[in-house]
Amino acid sequence: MASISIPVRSQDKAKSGLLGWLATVDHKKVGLMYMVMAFVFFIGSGLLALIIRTQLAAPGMTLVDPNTYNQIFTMHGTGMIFLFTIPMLVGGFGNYFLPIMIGARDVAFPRLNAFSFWITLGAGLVMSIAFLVGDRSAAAWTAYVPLSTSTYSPQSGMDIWLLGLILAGIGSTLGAVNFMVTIFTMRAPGMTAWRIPMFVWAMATTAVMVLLATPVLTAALVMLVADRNFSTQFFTTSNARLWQHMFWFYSHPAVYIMVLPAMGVVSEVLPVFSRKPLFGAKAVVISTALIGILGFTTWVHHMFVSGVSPAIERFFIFTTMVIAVPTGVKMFNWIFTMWGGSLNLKTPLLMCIGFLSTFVIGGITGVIQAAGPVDSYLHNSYWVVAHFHYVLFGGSVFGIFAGLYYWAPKMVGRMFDDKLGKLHFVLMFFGFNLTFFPMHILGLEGMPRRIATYAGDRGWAAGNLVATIGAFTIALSILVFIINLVKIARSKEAAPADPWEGNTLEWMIPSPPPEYNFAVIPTVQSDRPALDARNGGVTPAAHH
Amino acid sequence: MLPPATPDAQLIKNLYDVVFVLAVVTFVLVEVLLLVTAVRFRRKSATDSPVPVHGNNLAELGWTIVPAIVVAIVFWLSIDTAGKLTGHGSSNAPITRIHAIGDKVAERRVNESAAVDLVVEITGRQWFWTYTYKTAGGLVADSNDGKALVLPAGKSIRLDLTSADVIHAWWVPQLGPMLYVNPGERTAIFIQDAQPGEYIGQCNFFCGVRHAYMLNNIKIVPQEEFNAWYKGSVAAQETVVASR
Repeated sequence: MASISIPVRSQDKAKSGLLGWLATVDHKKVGLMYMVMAFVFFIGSGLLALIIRTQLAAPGMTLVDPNTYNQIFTMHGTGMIFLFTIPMLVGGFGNYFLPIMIGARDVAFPRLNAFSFWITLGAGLVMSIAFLVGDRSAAAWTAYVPLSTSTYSPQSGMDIWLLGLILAGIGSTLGAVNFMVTIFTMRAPGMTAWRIPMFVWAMATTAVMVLLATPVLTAALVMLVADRNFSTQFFTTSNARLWQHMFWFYSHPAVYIMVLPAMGVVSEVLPVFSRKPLFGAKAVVISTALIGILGFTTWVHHMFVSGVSPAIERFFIFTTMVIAVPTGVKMFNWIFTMWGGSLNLKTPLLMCIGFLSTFVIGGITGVIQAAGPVDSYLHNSYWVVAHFHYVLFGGSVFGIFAGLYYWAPKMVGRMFDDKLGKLHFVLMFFGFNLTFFPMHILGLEGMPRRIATYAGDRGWAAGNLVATIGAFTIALSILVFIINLVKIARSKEAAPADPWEGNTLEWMIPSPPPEYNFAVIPTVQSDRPALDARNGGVTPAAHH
Repeated sequence: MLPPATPDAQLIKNLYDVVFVLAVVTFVLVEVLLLVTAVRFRRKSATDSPVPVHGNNLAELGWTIVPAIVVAIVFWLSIDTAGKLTGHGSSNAPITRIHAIGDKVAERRVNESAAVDLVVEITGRQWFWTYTYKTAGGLVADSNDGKALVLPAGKSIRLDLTSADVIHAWWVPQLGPMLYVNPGERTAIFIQDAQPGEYIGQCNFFCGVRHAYMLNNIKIVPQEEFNAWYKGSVAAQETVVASR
């Protein structure tokens, strides 16, 4: 099988310069473009968060007026979810590493892949240009009907926002098809199911979720556009919860779409930096799949206080709590991967430890909120803001940075500065907890989310001030990361093909990888082919 | 949590307190384990060669079953508490719909709970609340300028909620559960045996530009005081109506 003879174009024949990027269908270049795009939107949405935190630093602040404030938090949420986290993890890491990790030369449909990127970038540009020139949507990222209808949000910015999300949804859906076909049909010889790397398993599950969930949101968005512009009546007041059902049918699985790939990164980094195999690899795969399935059964927990029937509430309390079990299984498997290992405490591993220690809080608070009567107190309060940031920042963002530091040498062929990386980690870890931990207390003290300001007599000033200090600490940590990026760009220290003693195929090819990745498609004989190669053959322990 | 002022709010707090203890135990366990692991197993030399443990089925079984039991306990406690809240056997039962179109079941449930001392119809609007007392005099009031909704202590009160425009949410944490206030349907929430005092409520569903300013203060007073206040307010209202 090693004789598959796709003519391998040499590096120097590939188009170079700007045209090389614009016209590329190479999964690595597409992946890098996704990452750059996502990072730009991360910075943009992060700056919006700083405005939010400055406005809330003290009672009665008037940095921005309430309408502007509403536009800002709407775009902060939209940008972070649809233009940063999903494109970074799925489009960025997925594109760059999924094909290499399964021993393929590209994705199954390279042109479709490029199309997915450009349409996602288009979505981002449409939304951000509308935001920059004004006339913005201000109905929150959830855009609940009827606030988002033409009666209460007449501005065209609302339509542009909806169109942007439709475009992003098309990009996501096509990308999911591409990844599924790639994983199913293009694995290297010998890569049986249990030899598929954990990150690829996570991406496979994510792709299935995207494929099943995203079209539902896209349909709801199209229906809302039609309601607003063509007087259709999909979302009438007699259908008070229809939008909510369709929206959360996508948006709850979306949480797992944003977390599973980050979990996949953690499952790759921990074994390498512990010098041990992943503890309970099969259990981790099964848990991933279970989270993927159960993720579709919990959406109504967003609607416990919106008027669903008691029986339905009981069902969704149950399903929501059940999903904590496979998540817990993964948590223990990760910790016991490190247990007894030889921990190489470099930045990628620190980011993973950051992930584990903060994500566990998001998981626990999720169970607390799932208790229906407790939810009838905490719902929509700042507690919830704390909870989902512990999941999506504590989980996804720490996972993203773990992946960026882990794979940076592979992608750019140079080493990053580990001391700066550690500084980045420490600042981000403390900044993150300083920002979001006090929000639990604010929620318990009765502070609703999405308020542009609050009165001084509510007792919320101290918690908010601490959160604001934390937010600027996070900003500082990102600045350190950017300095590290600049240092990498200027660095002359070439990264070796395998700086970490990696397990997976990407560490067997040069850094950065040549076009078409593999001169000869490798034959895989265990779940850790790079380790096999280092040891000069299959490790006996790999078969258990 | 803010100090509860009704038995319902107390039930919610009791549930939270128990779940919170379980949460703290889980949290401490995981974080200590993680920290000990990270410190104890630092790489000591470049040639460390740890035992390649691939897993342990008994351990997997353990950390599947134990969390499942904890979660089952939390589930049971939640359902149990939900059933005890004033209303109809579930935590969100106080939000029973009255005029939900085509929802006959909801109508029946409200009839069963008809025995209340006072009903107030409440309408959420961008960005204030109006209150119509369904009792002699039919007093109409609103929440503008920080005015409070005045209610008698120690009674059984039903608030019938609807919205004149977008979705709002009724949230007075010290008096019981939260509830969305939807246009096109009426939902009901109960205030049972409230203690006298002043409680701050705030709209807790994002409803547009001035959402942050949509407060609904509640003043719970003894019955006699309520009667006097109500009589005076109705008289004042009649004077206003007569002078038109």
